[in-house]
Amino acid sequence: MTRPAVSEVGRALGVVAARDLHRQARHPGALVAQGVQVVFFLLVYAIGFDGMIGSVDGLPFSAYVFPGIITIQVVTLGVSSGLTYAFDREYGMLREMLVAPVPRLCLPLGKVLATAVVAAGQAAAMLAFGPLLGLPLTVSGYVLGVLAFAVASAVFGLLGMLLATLVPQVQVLQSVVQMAMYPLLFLSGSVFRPDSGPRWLTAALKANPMTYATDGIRHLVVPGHGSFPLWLDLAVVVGLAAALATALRWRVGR
Amino acid sequence: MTAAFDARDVVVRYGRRTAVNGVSLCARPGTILALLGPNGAGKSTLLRALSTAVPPNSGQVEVFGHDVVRDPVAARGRIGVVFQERTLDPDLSVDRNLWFHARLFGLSRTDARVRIDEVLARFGLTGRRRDPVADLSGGLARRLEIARALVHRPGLVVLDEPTTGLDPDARRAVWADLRRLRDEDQVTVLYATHYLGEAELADHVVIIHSGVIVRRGTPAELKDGLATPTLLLSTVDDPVAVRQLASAGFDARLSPEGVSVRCAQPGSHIASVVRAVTMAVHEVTVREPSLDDVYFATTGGGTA
Repeated sequence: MTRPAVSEVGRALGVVAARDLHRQARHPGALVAQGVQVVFFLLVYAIGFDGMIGSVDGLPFSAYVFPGIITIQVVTLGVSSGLTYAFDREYGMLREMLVAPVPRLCLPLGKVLATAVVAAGQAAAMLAFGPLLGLPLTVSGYVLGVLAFAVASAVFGLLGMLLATLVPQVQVLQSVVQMAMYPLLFLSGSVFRPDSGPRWLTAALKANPMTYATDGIRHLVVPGHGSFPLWLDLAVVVGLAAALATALRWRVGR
Repeated sequence: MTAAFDARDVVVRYGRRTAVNGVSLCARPGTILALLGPNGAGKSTLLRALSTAVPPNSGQVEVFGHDVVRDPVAARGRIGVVFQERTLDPDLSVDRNLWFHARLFGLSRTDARVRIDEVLARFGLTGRRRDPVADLSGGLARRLEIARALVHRPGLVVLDEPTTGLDPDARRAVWADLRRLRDEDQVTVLYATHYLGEAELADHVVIIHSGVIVRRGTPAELKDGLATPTLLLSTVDDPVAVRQLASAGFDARLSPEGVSVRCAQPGSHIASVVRAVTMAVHEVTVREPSLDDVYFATTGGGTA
């Protein structure tokens, strides 16, 4: 069997990602809509609740939830990226890519890479506003944060791609993505402390891998404000990525 | 010489349905081969197995010596595929569609630029290179898809119903392109078609029905093999005429041209054939065997 060189796999990932980014750049409306969504989340939720809740662990509530809100944004972006795979399949473009002389896993992974690049860009722009909300952001916290947001988006992008390979119809997939997203996002401790609710809620939060992604990001952006050990957060995220990539490899074939 | 492709005892099943059932087929480089058969015969499935889109349940397929199951990546590198449905990216320009294909199929940036210029010139698309694909006519979009399938210099081009939905001029242009590929580049062309007339353009024709190959040969061989001329009748009620002729012992079938009656010496049977039907006969003609006759005789007159 001919094994493609690492450089060939890298080029294939880059080409698929570049194609997706090129297409997204032709539809800037979607990016603007995502930005508006974050602004509303911040204004209405975070700043609105600031006066009611006050501070969490010595941080203004809006500053505490700010990394969580960005996490919601990039994870939404990641899971939704599966829809691009489904649309490409629906409109035939995927067929052409599936007969390319590259391992098939390169196709969803290239799309995940494109998603991570977009997520990094969005996170870099949004996180820069953190100090205005009272977030004690350092340069290293900013850089690590942007990288962590990109990784989180990529890992949940794998979930989106896996869902896209499991659900053949685009309309059904849209509903499935919505259904998957709500518990994923709101049972993650993104907008409140994961250990601040009743026991059942805490148990649900601990069963949600996004909780650990959010917690890990909080560790990196505002050190000392995580709820679980950083190694546990990393272990869960890496384990999830490995499991999703394995399942995806099985779904798309060689 | 290594065969362009070599399929041996290929079986492909979708659930309980067997789409391709023990097909063996090969072609040497620089030939044009047509797969002819009715809807659901297994033509597209066979093309999908050859292009690694679907793995065969049993049997073996090799493309230029590369097994499509054991070494699909190498096999894909030698094949260009033109799908029945449009697979161009409507969000991108002509140029960009070719660019991303070239890069995904392993061409360096420099080689991709050179090759894109070549195929655009060859297919008369240079002047449209910056246009969005959505602005192209059906014929030009099809030519672009064929051009794209050739960007990475494949030795085998597989086309599924390449001229479906095209007007006669566009169809003629596509066939001229495919013949040039064979004659100038020694590319092997394998295509599935519904059009009997287009099958005649191939060097070899394979008639496939219910997942098995029922006849194969050059168009001339197939017509010679049938060896029976046909009497064509036009009547006021062709289905009834077929029944009356059959009950009179004639080998009569309904064909797109009317009622066809196969008989060894049609000239001496005209009177008895006309007497066997009770309604008015508008016209009787004697026709030598065509690929249509081979097709209908072989498949039992399935929808072409």
